Amino acid sequence: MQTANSTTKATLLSYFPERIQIALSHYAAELNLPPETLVQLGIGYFLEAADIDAGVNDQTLPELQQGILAHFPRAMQKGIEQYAAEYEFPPEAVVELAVTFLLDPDASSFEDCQVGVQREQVHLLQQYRQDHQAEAA
Amino acid sequence: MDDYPDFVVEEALRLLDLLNTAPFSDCAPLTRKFNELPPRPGIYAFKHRGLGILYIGKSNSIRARLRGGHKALGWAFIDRMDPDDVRIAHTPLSFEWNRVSYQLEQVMIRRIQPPYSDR
Repeated sequence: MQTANSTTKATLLSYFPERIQIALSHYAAELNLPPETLVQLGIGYFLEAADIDAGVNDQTLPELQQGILAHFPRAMQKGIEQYAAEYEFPPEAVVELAVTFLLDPDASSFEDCQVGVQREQVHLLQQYRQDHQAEAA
Repeated sequence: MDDYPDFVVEEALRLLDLLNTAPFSDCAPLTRKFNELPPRPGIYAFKHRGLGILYIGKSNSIRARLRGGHKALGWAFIDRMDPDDVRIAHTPLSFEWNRVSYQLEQVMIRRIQPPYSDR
């Protein structure tokens, strides 16, 4: 994962390679969501498979964080850190695992990620989003 | 196989041996949720009780990968296989090995050419 330019306030997407940003934008358009929300849904789906609650309905931003984790709500940040500790991956790498899985479930990193929109993935995310909207209601 | 570094080929063949020799009874059965599979990066293989490895794949979350559906399941269904005769063998990958998982997977596939692996 690349490092965002520190001279300007980085956006979440700016941490990803350009072709990943474009792919996320395409998925977001399919789901009619902001790309940042799409990334959070993807991470939530990935963590939920590991029985970790990512708190996708909690939007409380943490106060003391740097780097890409600062862009996530507190509960999601904790979920990422829990997964990172359990499986011995750096927290930033967990974000890459989850975003890669969202775009291409057979890829292992942004480098071997095939970025075409996959209908099955769109359907899974729609289902996941609906489930959590129902929970929050 | 010569186009990959020796250390990658050695590790791939070691992992392939683990997948090949894993007792069928120790592999994860086919279920809706695949809760017996790890939600972490790794390499997995569809194994048939008598025919051996049918498919080899990799994913950042083996559990989520299978939970989302898989083409190998469709092929096994079309081939009239009994679901009780198909299970999933798996081996986790560390952060470092996951960076070369594509190469590991390719070495394994080239070595045994599983009938359902066409990627």
